[in-house]
Amino acid sequence: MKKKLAFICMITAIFLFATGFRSDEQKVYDNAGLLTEQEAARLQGQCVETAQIKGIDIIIVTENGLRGKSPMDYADDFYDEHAFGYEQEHGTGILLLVDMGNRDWWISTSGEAIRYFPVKRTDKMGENIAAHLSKAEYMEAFETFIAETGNYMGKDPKQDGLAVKLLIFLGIGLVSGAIVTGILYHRQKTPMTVNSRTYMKGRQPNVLQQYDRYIRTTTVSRHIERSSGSSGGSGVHTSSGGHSHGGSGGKF
Amino acid sequence: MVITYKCPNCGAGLEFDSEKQMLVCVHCGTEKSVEEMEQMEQKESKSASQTNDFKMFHCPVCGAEILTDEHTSATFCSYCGSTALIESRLTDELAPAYVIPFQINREQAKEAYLRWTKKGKFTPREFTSQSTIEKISGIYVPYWIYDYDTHVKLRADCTRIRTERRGDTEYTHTDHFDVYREVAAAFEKVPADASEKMDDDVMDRLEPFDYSAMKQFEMPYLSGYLAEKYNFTEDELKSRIEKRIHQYAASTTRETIGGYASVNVLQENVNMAEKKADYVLLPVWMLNYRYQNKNYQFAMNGQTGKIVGKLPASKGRAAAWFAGVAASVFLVLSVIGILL
Repeated sequence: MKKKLAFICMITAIFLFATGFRSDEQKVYDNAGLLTEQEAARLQGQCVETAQIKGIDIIIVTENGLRGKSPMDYADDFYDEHAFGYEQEHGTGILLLVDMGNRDWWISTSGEAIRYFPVKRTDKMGENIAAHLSKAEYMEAFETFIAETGNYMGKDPKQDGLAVKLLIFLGIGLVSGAIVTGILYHRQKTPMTVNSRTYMKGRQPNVLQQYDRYIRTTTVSRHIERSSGSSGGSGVHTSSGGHSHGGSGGKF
Repeated sequence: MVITYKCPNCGAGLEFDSEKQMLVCVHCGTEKSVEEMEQMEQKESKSASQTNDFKMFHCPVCGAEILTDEHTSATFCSYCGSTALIESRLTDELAPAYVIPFQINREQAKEAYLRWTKKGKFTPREFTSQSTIEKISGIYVPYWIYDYDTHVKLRADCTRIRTERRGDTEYTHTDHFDVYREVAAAFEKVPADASEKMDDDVMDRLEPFDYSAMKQFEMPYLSGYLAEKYNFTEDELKSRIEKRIHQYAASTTRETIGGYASVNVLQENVNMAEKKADYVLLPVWMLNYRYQNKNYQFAMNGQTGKIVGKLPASKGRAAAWFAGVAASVFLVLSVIGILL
């Protein structure tokens, strides 16, 4: 009996160690001091819980300045250095970086998360998170991050906004139906096949006199606006550590 | 007096055959040209005295009374079926100047009608029936054709637009031009149907007729067809035709202005003068039918074959088309949208 139990424990331990995910690893790195101890602990618990349910490592990092590094590089490097990942090291995971110094946010993805969190989704998540950040609602921001990660993970990105898309397609279908039916109905009526040239003598009119005199010019000027700031993230790239990451970022 | 052209060989009736463009005996097949029969007729009528008939006419073959309204000039005896041409309505001041003979015969017209009924996408399936098709009639419709000279003076404010970009500013230059055009155009043989019974809209759509096939009017051309004399004189139709000429002249002049972004007409002066007007008979195949308490008309240009008419539209079929198109577009878009 004891031997069997020990055996099972050993298998479980090996299994746990073999995966990259360690539930006792720190997931919340509040270097900017935005949260209280209890808040940080709660977030830690949520990160781990959602990670285990959905199979994605979730990390939150806050800083007061990135020492010259771009948010993308900083986030990617942070992830690589800690070798986060759910099923293995450098595996599936998502990291939210908040830089209070420059007021930047960045979401970095790795492994399967790259597929489930394309730029469209990270942009949308970032939008929602930034809304809270700009109001200094840091707890809400991070909880939103964890919640949306849980929502999106496992759901095919192509299905986003499916209901709206289908509705639009239905609308187009109905309009096409109406147009085609209308055209067919009017084609039942025979058109006139004669015009001014049909009965004209010589098929050409005789221009007796003409002039085209220039009178004046009026000018309207318009100032062209330069497009301000690109909307972040270009998609999948390779970090300095040599690992593939996805994600996007923005300001708040 | 009522005239019937009879075959000199067997005495049966002669009818105008659109394929051969000659008079053909319905019984023995003898062919006679129009000129021949006209000359024969002239010789005969010179001997007989002209009696004035009013509305009572008698068939020269069977003696029965021919029923017509006051404008019919060629018809059939409803008893013996012989062709009957009412001479007094086709001579002197009522004589047409020209006629375009039928190019399309009865069989071709029936075929064309059947093909046409099948074309309609919304036509109810029960509609194409054989019974009504027998009633298709070839009729010479009276028209007035006019020659007009027109003189138009047009003044307009036209613009051209150029854009230029310097640095961060875009400049849109609008150049204004004072444009003047004086155009003379002559229009020949513009038709207007002179029959009150025929729907003007339908008649207009049958155009154009090929005037190169127009012949001097001879009564034999009418044998085998219905014909009418005009309801309206050339003066009565003047306002209708002048409206059309005005539109032609104005648009012709307007078309001589080109290369501008916008044309704003300030003054338009259209002068027109009638040069002459001729009374002609033009060939039309007609069929009036009734379906579900609504009247429909099928008309075909007896020379060119152009068809004008309205087919009944079944609401059910229209709805089916609408639903079908809507559904397929929806499906295609959904499949593409989901796969991409």
